Amino acid sequence: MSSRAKIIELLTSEYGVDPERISPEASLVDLGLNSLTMAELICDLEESFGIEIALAGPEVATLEDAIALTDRLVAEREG
Amino acid sequence: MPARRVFVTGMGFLTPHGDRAERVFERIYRGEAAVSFRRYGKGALTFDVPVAIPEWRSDEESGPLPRRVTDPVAHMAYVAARQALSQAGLVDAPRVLSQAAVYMGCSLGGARSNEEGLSVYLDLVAGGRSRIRPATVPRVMANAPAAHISMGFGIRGPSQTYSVACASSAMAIGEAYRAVRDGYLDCVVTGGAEAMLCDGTLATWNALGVLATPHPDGAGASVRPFDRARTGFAIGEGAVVLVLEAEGAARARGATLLGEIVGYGASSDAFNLTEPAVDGQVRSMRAALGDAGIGPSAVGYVNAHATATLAGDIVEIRAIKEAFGPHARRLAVSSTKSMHGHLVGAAGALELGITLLALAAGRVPPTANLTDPDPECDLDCVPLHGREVPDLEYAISNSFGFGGANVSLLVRRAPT
Repeated sequence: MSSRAKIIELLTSEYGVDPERISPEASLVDLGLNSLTMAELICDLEESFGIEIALAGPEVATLEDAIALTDRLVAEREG
Repeated sequence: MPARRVFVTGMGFLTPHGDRAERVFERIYRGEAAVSFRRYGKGALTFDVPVAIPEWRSDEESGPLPRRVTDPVAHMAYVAARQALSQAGLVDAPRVLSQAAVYMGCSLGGARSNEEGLSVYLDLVAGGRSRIRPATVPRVMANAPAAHISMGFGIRGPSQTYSVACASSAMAIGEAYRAVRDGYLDCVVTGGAEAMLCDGTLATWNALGVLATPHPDGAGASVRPFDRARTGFAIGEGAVVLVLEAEGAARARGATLLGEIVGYGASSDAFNLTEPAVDGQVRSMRAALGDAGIGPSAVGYVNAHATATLAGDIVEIRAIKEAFGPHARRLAVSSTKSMHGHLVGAAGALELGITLLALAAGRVPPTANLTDPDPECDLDCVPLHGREVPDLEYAISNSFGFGGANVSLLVRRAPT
């Protein structure tokens, strides 16, 4: 499963996001996430993709940001 | 303001006997136990304990908040509340709900989430690299069930949670009844939720030595209140929610009256953390009778707290004898925990719900597995078979908690 598909699945199944509202540029806040659920999503990305995301890392504001960060960290891990 | 009559206009069940009131009562009236022995624990610690697992479709029922911030205890509370509000015809009644309140009982809060958080903590202590979930605290807090109900239905009055061990939801309902009776609120969504069927929590219950041991006739025969061979209870989980309304408000909107709460008694033993006391239980039952302004002889049925522990059942029988005097011999007294297990913080709500259904049906549920009564439990404990009691009008539900907290709720059949 691509990182995009996995993250969309997480957003709909665990974060109550309406699949019809999801678009790459949609802000995660507009999709209903807040600071707490955003922090949970970071944990989910770490667990799902076997990566570590620094707490003070780059801002993840949109679905596209989440996908790009995940893909970059997965690529770094796989060297 | 003079005291107002308080009616139950909705009931929601999410229990080991299913999630439909009629079916729950039918199965309990038939004496069907929903108890099984399951293996819990992992690694070097596994153990088999008696449990009563709720029947519901958690994947199909959504809650008001994302799953990631919702412990099953809050999810179940919300589902039971939706059922109760739907029966009351109030799901889409913002004018009523914005003025309503939520009074819930819960003993351990989000036990599963607590356990997950602690296991990550221990992993970190041992050098692991996992991360404690940021939403652990709001999932664990005991008022989450009430909060989810408030948010889910737009209930904007006070949101309160009573944590009084096994008396939690009985006290929540009693206090909700008082608030409506005395004119503070016209509508309260009240009940209890508990979800502690997880490894570490069950290991601690197992260590307490109060859980039933296996019986040769099978798991369903293991919980035996008032019986000589009783060994303790099964831990159950679930949620039961009632909608209470002031008479005027309920009648004005043509609500169906399912039963009436007429008396609430609460007391403390001031004696021992875990050992029950006759005196405190007598005072809670007498207070409920006094609150309702009726004599003992008006009551036909007592849904006993009776957890099938050696000491507890005898103390309650003695307390009933003292509180009811000669009329105790004419009472039907049963322990439905023999079938649905002990729902701890939700126990009082479930047992009051069953008591209301018993009044409506004119049928008293039995004490399952009571084949060899303890001579010290020598009241009519309705052994094995339920009974038609068409003129049943008043009944009491007892809930006695660790800490010496006692609650008795007195209910009356709905007017016809």
